[in-house]
Amino acid sequence: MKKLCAVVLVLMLAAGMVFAAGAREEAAPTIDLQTATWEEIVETAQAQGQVTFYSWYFPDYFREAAADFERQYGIKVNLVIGDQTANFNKVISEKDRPVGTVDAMIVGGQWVKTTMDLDLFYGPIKDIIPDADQLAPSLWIVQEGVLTHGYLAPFHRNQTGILYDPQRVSNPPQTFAELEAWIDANPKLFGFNDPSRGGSGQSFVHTVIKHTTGGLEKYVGDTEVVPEKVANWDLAWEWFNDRKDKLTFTVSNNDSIIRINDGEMAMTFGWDDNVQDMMNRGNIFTRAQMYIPEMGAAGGGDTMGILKNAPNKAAAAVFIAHITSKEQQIKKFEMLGAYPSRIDIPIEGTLLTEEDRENNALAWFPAPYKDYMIAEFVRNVLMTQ
Amino acid sequence: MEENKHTLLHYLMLLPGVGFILMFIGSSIFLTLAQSFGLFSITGRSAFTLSNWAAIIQARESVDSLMFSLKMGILSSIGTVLFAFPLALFFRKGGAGKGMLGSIIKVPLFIPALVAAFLIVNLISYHGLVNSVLLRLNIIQQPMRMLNDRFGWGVVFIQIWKNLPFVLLILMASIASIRDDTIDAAKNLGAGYWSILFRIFVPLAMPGILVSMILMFIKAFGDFPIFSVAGPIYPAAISVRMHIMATLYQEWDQAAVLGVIIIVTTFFVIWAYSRFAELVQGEE
Amino acid sequence: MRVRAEQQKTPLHVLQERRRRRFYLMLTLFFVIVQLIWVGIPILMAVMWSLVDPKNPWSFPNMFPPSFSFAQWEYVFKYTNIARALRTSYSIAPLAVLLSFVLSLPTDYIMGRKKIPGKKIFMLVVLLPIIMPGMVVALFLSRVFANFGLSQSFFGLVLAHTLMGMPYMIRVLTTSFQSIPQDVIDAAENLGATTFVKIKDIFLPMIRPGLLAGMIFAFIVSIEEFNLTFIIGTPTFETIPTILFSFMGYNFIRTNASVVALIMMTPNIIMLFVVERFLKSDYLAASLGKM
Repeated sequence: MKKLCAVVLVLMLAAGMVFAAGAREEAAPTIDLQTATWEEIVETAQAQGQVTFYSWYFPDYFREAAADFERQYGIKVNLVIGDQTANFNKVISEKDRPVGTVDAMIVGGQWVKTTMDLDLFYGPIKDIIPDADQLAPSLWIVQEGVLTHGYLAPFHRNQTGILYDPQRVSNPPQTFAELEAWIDANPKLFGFNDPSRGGSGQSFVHTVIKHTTGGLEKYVGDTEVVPEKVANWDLAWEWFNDRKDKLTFTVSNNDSIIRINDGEMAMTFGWDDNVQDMMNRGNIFTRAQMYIPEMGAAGGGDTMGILKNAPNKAAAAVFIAHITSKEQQIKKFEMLGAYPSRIDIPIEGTLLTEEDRENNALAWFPAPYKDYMIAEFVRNVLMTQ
Repeated sequence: MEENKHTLLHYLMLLPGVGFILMFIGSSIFLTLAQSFGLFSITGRSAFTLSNWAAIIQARESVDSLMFSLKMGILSSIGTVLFAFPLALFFRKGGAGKGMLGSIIKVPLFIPALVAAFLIVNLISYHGLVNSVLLRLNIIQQPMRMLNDRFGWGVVFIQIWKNLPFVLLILMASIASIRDDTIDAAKNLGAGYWSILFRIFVPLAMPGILVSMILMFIKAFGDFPIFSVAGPIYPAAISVRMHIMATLYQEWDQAAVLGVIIIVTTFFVIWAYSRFAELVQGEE
Repeated sequence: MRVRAEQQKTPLHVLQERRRRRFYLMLTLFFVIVQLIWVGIPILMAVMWSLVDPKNPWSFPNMFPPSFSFAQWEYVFKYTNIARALRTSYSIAPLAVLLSFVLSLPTDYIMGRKKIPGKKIFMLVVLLPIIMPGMVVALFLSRVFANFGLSQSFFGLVLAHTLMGMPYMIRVLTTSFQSIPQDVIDAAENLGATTFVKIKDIFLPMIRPGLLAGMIFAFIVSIEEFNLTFIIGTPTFETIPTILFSFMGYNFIRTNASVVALIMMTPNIIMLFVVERFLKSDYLAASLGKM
């Protein structure tokens, strides 16, 4: 009996602790961002006193940007550099709560569709951010084939291209025919990642579809997959299956770059910002070179959004304005060599030349085609080994 | 009456352990199950449907993923126990240097799975240590491509490397309670090494072997990081497939179906392992 | 052989014993060398990756990094909250271990020693926290914690880590309780041992090896837990895995990941050596089957 009483007592205590532990923080001051002037927003932000921002890369840049922000506005930044998936899991898990814990975050290409479908972000914010028109205009409208309606502010632009080791590739291919010839002559030395695990592999499959099934123009503006337009995609799958034993498949964007560094491959499709970041930190040899071939390669960018249930929306808006300011975008460019989202910054010394970007960069076909492409690639190429 | 009172008390004593777990897990499992039928969907829609189950069961990708994960889980759990059991017997008696050895063996326990995966992948990469050594010894002429092999040996190897000490600890604990007099008695009756091994150690250590196999299976079957670094290009492990289903194709409800399949399959394998253990013990 | 043994007037069994000991020593030595390679080389690789000079990358055909530098370490200490995360991680872990032990003990005892209806189901249910796919943990379990008001709270993190460690604790300790021979308990009862004496002198010593294993597992689970911690802990609390994943997840940077992994491993390994030294005598006594 004594034991029983003890057990019950312990349980009650535990249950009591469970419910007593959750004390909610009081609500921060708010303001309607859509109608307020910028001065009022800054004032409210300062009254809110803090902002919580999530990213999964560039800890060095964001920490310095946060320090600048605190100096300039007196608003504290809670910066969390997490993992891409974990960041989105967190905001999705909190999406039904009236007030969440995250104010603003970086949004990568892979997650745009999910976040727009789940309606996670507050907006549109294009008319709130002061320098909005100086940021890549196309990225305000569409990110990796998904319409974003001005909800997501461009943070930086990135671009896929061919990364190669100049010691082993003397005459890198420009056209699709040249690439085919190169792969035939150098089996296994060209590779790309499984498109279900990273954007650079998706970009390569995208380019192959462009060349084997008659261009990308026919897909523009579609909101769902039109069966007649994808009827001849088996030509693309045939292309892959014909040279399957001459291609190397990798498991992620970074894995492709690592295998160039390791010497297993000599040429791959990669993201320029990824390559630059890994180069900065000694993860790939500095002699590596990158270009956008004439056959074309897709590009995109990462954006920032304010969460719908952000506790400090005004401070989040001011922080996004700070990150997209000319001064900060230049600082980011100088620190990391990553391509800025602002269009009023002179750019020199990046991996990819401006001519390449102008002439050879492709826009993704609409997102439904991309999903379809990945699923069909798995089914028709990977499954049939 | 007395009996009933005892049972009630026994159930109450389960509350801090089993009750605590149920309090947190119950609703999560319920939500996963409900979502797999289209209810309480994360996208906000909510209507009962069997279409998610139909879609998953009909897709060859999901079947391949399930079979692959199952294969990896069973191979890893059996493989690790096969390696660890002789070691556990070796450690049963003290001896010079064994303390040191015991500590070194346990080091991989403290290396996170993701890190373990990348360290081993480093070794077996195209120009990694293994290939370099074999090349220098003239055993091979060309480096071997061992990364992301189609069968999944890389995954099994990493699982064994990482979890050998995990299983060893459990087995050592369960062998510790086997008393010397039992073995001496058997020896006096003329039992040989093999018969002592299979008639005494294995049956008496069976609860420990069973627990290690079960826990190892759960770890290897549901693992995400090792699969995503070292697994084959196709098929994706079921946990990876679940992740891709939700985050790439936005099929959250179908991902929930895969979640339910993961849980049910795990239960089924645990049941099979338990039956197997009962059979082995039953022989004695 | 036998002739020589007789000549030296050494009894056969002593000789055999000596030979046996020498054999075991050689075997131990062999295992130590194998283990040093098996465990040592991957860790050495991590150390080398953590010392790569950003200006002079380690790439094919170099077998070793061409030059070493502490830049990767400086980067991690300068740009992440690693020191704070270390403190948080090592404050949560011991509490979670203790709590999972205390909460699971009655269950372990009942499951190991008593026959109650539904036992097999309970044994499955306690495994659920580790069977649940990471995504279910991240998306649903985290909501349960939030609904209990346990988000952004230290106590909530301790409970979360307790929950994830308990399956190991329960299953391992249940096995330990199961393998206590009934005759020992009967003997004690016949000698009039009270419950307290039974616990102190029979149960605790006999489950000690299992307890050590269970505690190590619960500790590791707590140190490594990521999915739940990230969602209910950050931004208020960061643990070591939340930093590790920023270098290991989608944006995989080998050099910095090695640094964080080494920072994570080192205290654990030191602790392991200390604990083993500390527990050695009892541990061996238990493994010799002496009570």
